Amino acid sequence: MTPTLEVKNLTVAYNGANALEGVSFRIGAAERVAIVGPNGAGKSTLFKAMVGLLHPSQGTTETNGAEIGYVTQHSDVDKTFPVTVHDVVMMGRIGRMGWLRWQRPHDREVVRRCLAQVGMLEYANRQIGELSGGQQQRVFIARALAQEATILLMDEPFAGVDVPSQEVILEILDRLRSQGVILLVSLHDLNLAVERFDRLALLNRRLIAFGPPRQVVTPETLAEAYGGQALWRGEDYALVLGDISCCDEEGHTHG
Amino acid sequence: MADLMHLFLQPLSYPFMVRGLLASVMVGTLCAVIGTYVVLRGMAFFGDALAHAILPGVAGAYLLQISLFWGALIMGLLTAVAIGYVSQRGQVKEDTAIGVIFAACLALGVALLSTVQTYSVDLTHILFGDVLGVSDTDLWLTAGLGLLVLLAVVLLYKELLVISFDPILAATLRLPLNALHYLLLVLIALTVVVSLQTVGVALMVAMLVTPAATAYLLTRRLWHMMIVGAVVGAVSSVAGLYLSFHLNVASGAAVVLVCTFFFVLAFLFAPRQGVVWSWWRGRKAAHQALIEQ
Amino acid sequence: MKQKREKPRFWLSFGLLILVAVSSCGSTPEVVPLSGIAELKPASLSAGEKLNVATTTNIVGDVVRQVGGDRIALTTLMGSGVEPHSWVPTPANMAAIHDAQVLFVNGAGLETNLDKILQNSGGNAVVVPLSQGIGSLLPESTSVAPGDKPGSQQEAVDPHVWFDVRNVISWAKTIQGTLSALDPANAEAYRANAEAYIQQLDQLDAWIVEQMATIPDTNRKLVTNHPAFGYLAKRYGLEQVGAVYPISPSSEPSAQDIAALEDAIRQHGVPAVFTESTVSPNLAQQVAKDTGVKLVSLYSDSLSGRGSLVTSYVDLMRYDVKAIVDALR
Repeated sequence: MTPTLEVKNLTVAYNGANALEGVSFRIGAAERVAIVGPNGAGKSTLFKAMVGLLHPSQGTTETNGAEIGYVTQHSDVDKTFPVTVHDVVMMGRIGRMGWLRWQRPHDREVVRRCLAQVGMLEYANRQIGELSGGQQQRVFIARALAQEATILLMDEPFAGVDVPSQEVILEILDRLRSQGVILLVSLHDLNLAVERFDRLALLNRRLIAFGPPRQVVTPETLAEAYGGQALWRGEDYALVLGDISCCDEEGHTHG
Repeated sequence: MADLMHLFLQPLSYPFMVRGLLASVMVGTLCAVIGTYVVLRGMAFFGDALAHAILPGVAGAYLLQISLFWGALIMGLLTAVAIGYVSQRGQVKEDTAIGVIFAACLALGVALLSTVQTYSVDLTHILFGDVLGVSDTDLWLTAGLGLLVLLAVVLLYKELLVISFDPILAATLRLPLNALHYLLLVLIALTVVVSLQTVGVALMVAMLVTPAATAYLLTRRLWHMMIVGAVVGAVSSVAGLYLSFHLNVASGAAVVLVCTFFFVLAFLFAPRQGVVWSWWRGRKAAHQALIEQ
Repeated sequence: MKQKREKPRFWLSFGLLILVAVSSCGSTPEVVPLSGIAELKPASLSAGEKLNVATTTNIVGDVVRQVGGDRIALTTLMGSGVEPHSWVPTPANMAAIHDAQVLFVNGAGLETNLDKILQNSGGNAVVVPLSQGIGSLLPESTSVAPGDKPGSQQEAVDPHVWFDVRNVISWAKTIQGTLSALDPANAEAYRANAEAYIQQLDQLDAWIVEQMATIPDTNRKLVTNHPAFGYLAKRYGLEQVGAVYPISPSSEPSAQDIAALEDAIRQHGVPAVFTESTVSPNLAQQVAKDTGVKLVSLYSDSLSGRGSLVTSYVDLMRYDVKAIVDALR
């Protein structure tokens, strides 16, 4: 069964102002969608509202029964915690295990399978802190898979991950998409978004544009999203600067 | 050899020592298991505050002539919930919330106790423990409540693990985060109340933190940490009590010093993280580099 | 212009106030030796004003009341159930000491830090330690544990002198002398009261001797909560075998102390362990249970409250002796 995801008019208030306003989009088939926008655009807020961590003041998130899995950013987690890779993925099974239950052979099987899918099976008994950032991120993807989620939300999965590991993760995402999983990934790297994703959602509190990359990334939309700090050079490339307040944005050209 | 046996067996011929040993072992084990969460979640200050905050409960129980245990229990639970609530509101940092409540309760306890001018030595007991005065009833209470706490930890192992490691995942899995958090606070409060008679208020935090910290240096998985911690806690308690018997020193203090001794050993010699191994590995690497030149 | 002149005036008067307060705190209550009592100058009392008397323990308070009657205004600092070894005076207590004209204390170290307390309270009270002039003060040494702490017990003296009735007779005489010297107007009343009370005490003493005689020789052994009954033991033929708190109620016994005590109980075939109203009975209960002997409660360092069992010294002695004799017989 192909998962579908529909967000209708999602509005989330934060400290009096609206962090998200009237966001609506629909994803009907296995797609890889990138959410882009400047810092503070509400990308994390969108994910959190979709998965129930924040309560929207308006709007809904609906699926056709598919489960949404939130992939934690590896930097958000205490690396010194005494858990192994296996333990971390097993946590994803809690929803299926029920209260007062232990790991069953089936759960262990699922954990192994998910670890294999992300290529981390041989690291199963390593403590989570022994892994690199990229490896940890893959483990968290495996955990979301162990939840039997067919819609994955990934908040900045490439942050703090070296380029080879990024490639590995992108390969995993390729495989997942071919298995029918919807992938929603929030990114800073507009380059990457345009190149490797099926559709883009350009977000800055409101959904400014949603659709195929070339349609979404235009001088007008960029100007609206990034507040006049985008410079459009030509038809084939764009120089985009993020908002000046951010320090880790890089300006890059697109050849 | 016979001397050693005598040293070991002599205290056991006194029922009060046997009771004291049983109580200490139970408390050492229980504190280490709950202490795992205290160490991993950085709640040492909370544990210390809880121990001190129980003072007005005990003083009140004195004045009302009810069992000190119930006074301690009610006060402990109240304080745990109060701290949980104030930190949640987010108006002040959790550190501040704990500090304010801690000091207020301690002051209230001291004020109440100053009106009680008899049974003065019991203040020393409250502060430093009274392991020699453990009665059979105390033992049953400790065992019963201790088992209850351990049962909760076992039954809710994976849930407590998730809320401690990744609260975001817990929320997405629709776990009742708040309820579980308060439950953990209540479990810590119960542990503290049950352990008060053995170690006393002043040294309580040591029993919660030190064996668990020692285990942390030696293990990689949570339930391993609990088991190793429990063993360290129990062994330290027994050794400490024996030491206090033969050397005529305060029992609570002796137990804590033994716990600390084990921690220092682990700190220095733990297989991966120990100071000594790191230094040795560094030397080895430098030596290697020199050879390869 | 006006402000400038008023500022130095304010500070001047403030400074003077401080000076006055400090200077009036220069006086300290003075401890009077036994020999000096007869030479005490009468206190200045206006017509109808009663002599302001304070006492530390309530046992002393009771004896002072018996001699002084209603001719004195008496304040007892330690209420019922208060443990004298660890007594810490409240601000009200300090004020009472400051205002008193004479302060009767037990002395011999029963009230801890008495010197410091007197220094801090200030005032002009005449301080009379009743334990001076008592025949022989016993050393405090009932610890049966091996490896006794050096020094502390040899120097310390057992302050519970009131357990020998003859000592309290001596108290009454000292009190009468002091009150008469300070308040000559009522000297006759004090004399009559003292005489009557001493008669009562003589009868009490005789009664105790008679009662104690009924205890079989093998059972004349006392194990108490803290070693308070040395004078009782010496005068009336008992032996203080050991105590749960061997030194004082505020000092913890070690595991070895308790072990030694239990051994001693078994060894000597002691029939009972006695607890006291002012010290927690918890440990004593455990010891009694483990050795299988009776647990009996006594009064030692304090009377009980008004309207209860033991409201006077004589009551205390009668109660305790009866309880001891019943338990040991």
